[in-house]
Amino acid sequence: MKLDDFLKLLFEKAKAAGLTEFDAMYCEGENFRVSAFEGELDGYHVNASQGLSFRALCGETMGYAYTETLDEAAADMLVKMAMENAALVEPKDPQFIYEGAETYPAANGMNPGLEAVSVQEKIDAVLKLEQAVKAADPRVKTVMQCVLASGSGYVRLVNSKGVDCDYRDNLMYSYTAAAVEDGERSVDGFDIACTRDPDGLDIERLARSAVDKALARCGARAVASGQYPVILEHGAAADLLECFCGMFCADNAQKGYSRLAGREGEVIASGQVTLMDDPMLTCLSDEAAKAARGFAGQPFDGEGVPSRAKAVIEKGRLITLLHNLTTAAKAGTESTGNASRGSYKSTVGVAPTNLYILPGADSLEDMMQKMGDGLVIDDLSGLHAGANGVSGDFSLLAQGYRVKDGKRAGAVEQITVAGNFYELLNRVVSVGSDLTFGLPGSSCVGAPSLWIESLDIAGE
Amino acid sequence: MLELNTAQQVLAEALTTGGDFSEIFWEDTLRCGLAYLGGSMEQAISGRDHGAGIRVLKGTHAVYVYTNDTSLQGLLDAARKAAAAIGSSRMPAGEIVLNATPMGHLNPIAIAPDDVSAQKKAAWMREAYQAAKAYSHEISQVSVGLNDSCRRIVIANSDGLYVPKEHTHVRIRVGAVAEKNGETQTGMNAPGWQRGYEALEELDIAAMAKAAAKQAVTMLHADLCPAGRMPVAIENGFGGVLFHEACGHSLEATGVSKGHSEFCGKLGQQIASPIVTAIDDGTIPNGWGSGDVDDEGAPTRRNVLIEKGILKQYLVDKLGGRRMGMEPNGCSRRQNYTYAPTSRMSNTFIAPGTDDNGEIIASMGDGLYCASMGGGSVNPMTGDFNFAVSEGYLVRNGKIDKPVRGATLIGRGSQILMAIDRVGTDMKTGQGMCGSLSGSIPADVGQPLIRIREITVGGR
Repeated sequence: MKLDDFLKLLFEKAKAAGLTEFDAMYCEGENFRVSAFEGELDGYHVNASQGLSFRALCGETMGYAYTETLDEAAADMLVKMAMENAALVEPKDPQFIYEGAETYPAANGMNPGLEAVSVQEKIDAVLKLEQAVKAADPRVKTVMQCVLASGSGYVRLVNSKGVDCDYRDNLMYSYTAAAVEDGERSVDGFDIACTRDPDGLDIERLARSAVDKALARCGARAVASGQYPVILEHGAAADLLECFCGMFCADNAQKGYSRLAGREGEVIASGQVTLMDDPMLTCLSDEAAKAARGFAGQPFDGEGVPSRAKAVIEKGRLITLLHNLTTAAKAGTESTGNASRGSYKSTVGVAPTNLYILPGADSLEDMMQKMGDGLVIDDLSGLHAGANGVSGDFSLLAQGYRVKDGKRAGAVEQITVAGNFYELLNRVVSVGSDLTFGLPGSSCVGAPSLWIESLDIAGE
Repeated sequence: MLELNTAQQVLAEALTTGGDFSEIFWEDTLRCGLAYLGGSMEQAISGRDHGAGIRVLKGTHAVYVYTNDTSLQGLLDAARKAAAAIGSSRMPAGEIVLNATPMGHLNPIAIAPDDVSAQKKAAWMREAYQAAKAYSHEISQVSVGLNDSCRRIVIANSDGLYVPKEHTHVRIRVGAVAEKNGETQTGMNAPGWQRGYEALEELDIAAMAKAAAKQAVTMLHADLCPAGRMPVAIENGFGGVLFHEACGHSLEATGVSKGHSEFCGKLGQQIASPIVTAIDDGTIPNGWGSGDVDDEGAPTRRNVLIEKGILKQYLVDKLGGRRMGMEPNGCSRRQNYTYAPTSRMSNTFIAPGTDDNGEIIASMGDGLYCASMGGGSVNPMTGDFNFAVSEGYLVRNGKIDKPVRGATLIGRGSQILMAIDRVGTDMKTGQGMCGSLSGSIPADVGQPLIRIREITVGGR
């Protein structure tokens, strides 16, 4: 059944069941992924998928249901399940079906030019990537991952109050992991490139970067346990920020999962730190946004509220938490346009859009120079387990290198770095100029390199 | 349900361009998720996943296409897409004859999720909430999640296989937060079953919930874990995550078949201490990771991976087996129809040994006792792993002393397996979700109390 027909049918059935306030969010995606191994394609994935989330306000409570098929049986099921689920929920927090807004920002996540890149061009690129990794250095033993993927998505939100908005986005990315010989064992290096520009993938550079990262691991040793001044390189800093970004979400604060509840206006971080939630990346210069692989987000959030940019922390001071309509009503403020639905299988929560620390002036080299002696950490593992989003504590497997007299020295591995994210925010000495974003998902988190006064290292 | 003659046509169509093997994985899944927070039911969502994935192999060249449209036309379209990626010259479709295998009965269900009222589910969740909340005045928040799913699957392939299967999973999760003077710590307990709701009827819900609360309160009063190298004893149950991460993943054909594992070429060699025997067993009745057949339709097996320290077997799926020249051994799994299957663990455990628990602690001198583990991760190429200790205690002079928080264990799989110097007798398992190439799947981990001579403990 066509989407318009399905929505019409679904809304008719909802009204016939006595519902007056409800919405439907439809998501559609087309994805392509190809991988190379030893000169051949060893993986080739192509898919088209769809899903629809329906939620209905029954009295004071909201019930949710979702489906991946759009037929009459599905419409009946959605209405029935949503009503049953609403009856199960106990009234507590105010729930809303959004009235709609006058204007929405223009979506900027779709480059039609990217859709013109042919399958053959993508296959050629991934085969070339594998060759380039192998050719980059004689010590390359094997190419562990060699993937090129592209995807496009469509989201439409329609509700009983007349909201009907949609957007499209697309993306192409490629990643590779190179393994190089290091005496008796192998070490690996990984890098990824993302673009919305049909000519935006620099395969040679990606290959070189992954191999360089692997080579930089050679001869790595643990360091003695102790406290060290640490620079978290941009990638590691972004990973850590992403891991703890829930603390800035008002739903977590209201549930007692964030220590930032009620602390708006207070200094919670070093004066070096300005944290932006910037859905369309309008707060960065074009150049900075491009260098940061900026991926603009959606023009409206999971409830249909227009997206807008806001400072979460400004020069160390907490300005606002991120809100949806429910958390805003509870806090007596307005939604910041951060209602999230991880997918059509999720309920509405709160999440950042593009969340990043505003870059400073120093390059990584400048920061190393100023730090003198210490460690640079460029890779963190086990974030899903070794970091506690509620307490802020983290203790993570890390890799990187020593810094001696302001210069890069030997590679470091088999260490852990431990601290507390709330404390870390207050101990940022300096913020680098090298803002980079992680992979875009429902949220996209970025950071420049961060020089931290000291962190606890466990090693030898 | 996927009709037999539909499957025949689709499988034949998929082979029209030179593929030597085609497969359909058809799925229809009903899910329900409830979230109870702070004394009331907060969210309820239910829905239906529906789709099919088509895989075509030509030697080691693999193509995967999935779709939500499981009509004959939709599946034929997907089969043509897959075939087009295998070769360009089209031959007439051949004939494929399927022989239906009856459904297996390894995982009988007494009370299907459908037969349990929402009120009953809510009552269990309330009981868990109240028990955790009542544990201590320091418990500031308790969340209870209850999820169930009923997956109906049909797997058919061009070798003539047509096999239906069903998986019903139920999982309850209690998360507790303890707070004192602005400091927070968390505790969690999340048992799961491949059973119906009879599992909850048999469960001591209050005791399960109290364990989560106790963990949070214990950690609230714990000091930071000291960092360094020390002997470590790891308790049974979810402690088995050690073997899962440190070794299990590195024995999957996914990595081994490409030379991307530290255990490549080591069959028949000693890779672990002689007191270590490790088994992956997909045939355990009602096991969290069990199945009558795997996700390629092959009967599951009990695979002894390591026997008295000697590497006996890898985990081999069909595609990995083609690369390695080995027969698949019933361990191919996937999250759902959107993933191509690959070699994965099911129920994986270190078999009981002969050491006495009391002696294991008494003879360890000073070190760390891990009563409860969080998750972890591994890089199979280097074997570098990490995992988080969610409830740890210092051991002083062979006696369990005060609790410590924020500990992480890191090391290299091959070294840690050799460093296991005690294996106790009381094997127990714990339930986890394992993420890898073919998605997130239920995986049971297990072991008796074990001890590692020396390992790096990350802390502060």
